[in-house]
Amino acid sequence: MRRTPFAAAVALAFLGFGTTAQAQGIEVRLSGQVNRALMHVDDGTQTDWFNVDNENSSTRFRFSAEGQAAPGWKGGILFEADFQSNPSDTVTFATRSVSAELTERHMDVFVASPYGTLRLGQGDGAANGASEVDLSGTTVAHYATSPDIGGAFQYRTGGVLSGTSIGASISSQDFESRYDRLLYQSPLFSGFMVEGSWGHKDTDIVELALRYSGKIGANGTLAGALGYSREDAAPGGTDDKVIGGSISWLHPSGFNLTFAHTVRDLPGRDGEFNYVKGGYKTGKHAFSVDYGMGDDQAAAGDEAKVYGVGYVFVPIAWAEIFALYKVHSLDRPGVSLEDITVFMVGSRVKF
Amino acid sequence: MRTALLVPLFFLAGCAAEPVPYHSGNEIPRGPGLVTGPQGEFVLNAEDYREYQEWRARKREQESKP
Repeated sequence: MRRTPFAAAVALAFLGFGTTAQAQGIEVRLSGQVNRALMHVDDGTQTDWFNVDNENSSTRFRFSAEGQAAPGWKGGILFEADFQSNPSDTVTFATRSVSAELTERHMDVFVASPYGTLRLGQGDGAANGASEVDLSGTTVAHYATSPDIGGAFQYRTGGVLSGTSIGASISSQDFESRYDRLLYQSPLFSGFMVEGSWGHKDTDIVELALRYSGKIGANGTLAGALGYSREDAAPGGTDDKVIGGSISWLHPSGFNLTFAHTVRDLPGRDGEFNYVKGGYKTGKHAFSVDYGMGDDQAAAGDEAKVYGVGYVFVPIAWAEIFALYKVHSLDRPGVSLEDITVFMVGSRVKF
Repeated sequence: MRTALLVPLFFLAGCAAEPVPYHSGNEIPRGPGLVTGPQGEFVLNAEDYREYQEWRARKREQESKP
């Protein structure tokens, strides 16, 4: 008997769609979060406050559904979009207000079996996040991809904008992010998982990753990932190749350490990124300090640095309050550039 | 070179490990939600739909009675 599933209809109506589908055995799940902050930026000449959406973990909602297709086999969909006004990586002194728009994150269909999971559509490439593994509990405040907070601000020289932003000088080079792809994820083998994806933005992209997460006896938890990505060049250009990874260790005492490293092939040079973070978390509190370096990313000879302090308080299970203070600097041969100081305080609420 | 150093670390860790799922702190957190309660997400299934249909049928029946 064909029925209109109330569950799916309600869920899709929530997204502005209408639908009919077979409902037997299907579960539909809805969740999301709002993540807002006040951010203060001082670039040595100008200072101001900004009311931003925290790009470390943007305001978003998720809709997913899955059902059993055969014993041991499941099929389903994942739809996730973010909706940010004033993203913290986009605002500048000249553009303090950025209108919200719905941006795709995941829009894929999948089949999961004992042989692994196959996903088709918009979503994470195999190596997405491989340079961002972090067990500190403070990633909503700061993590390897430091330009997510204040990334559009440009360094100044003699009070004049240099044309080089934080984001251009100290990217974590976290592979190819999300795009339209075919992704394979292996089953877990002793905590290890292999992933491979093929897809495209303007040109073809291939990515590979090896991921690990496990408890190491009385020594706590270790997680990490290694990734490789290659995006074909446009005619006359250079293939965009990145290799690297990250590893994070959380001791049962709450002490934690994180390290990330990536190298990107750039015309005539390698853009390098290194990152180290140390932290401590106990109960409802997590605290960390980090230090990152981006070499030769925006231009040959560039040495960008960031150091920061982050704190996260979880007063209730569905809400976090976070604070971040960080300083970005850029050493460029023959040019004197002002440091950029960023302070942010805000809250992420899961609904 | 530094990337190569990560490889043996991985495999050493895997030798004595008990797998645990990794959940990025940059994703929607696991656990309860403000509106969704302890489950952290609205979960709707075919059973909900069947109960809704039965409720509608009963309501129609009651409304059709004089």
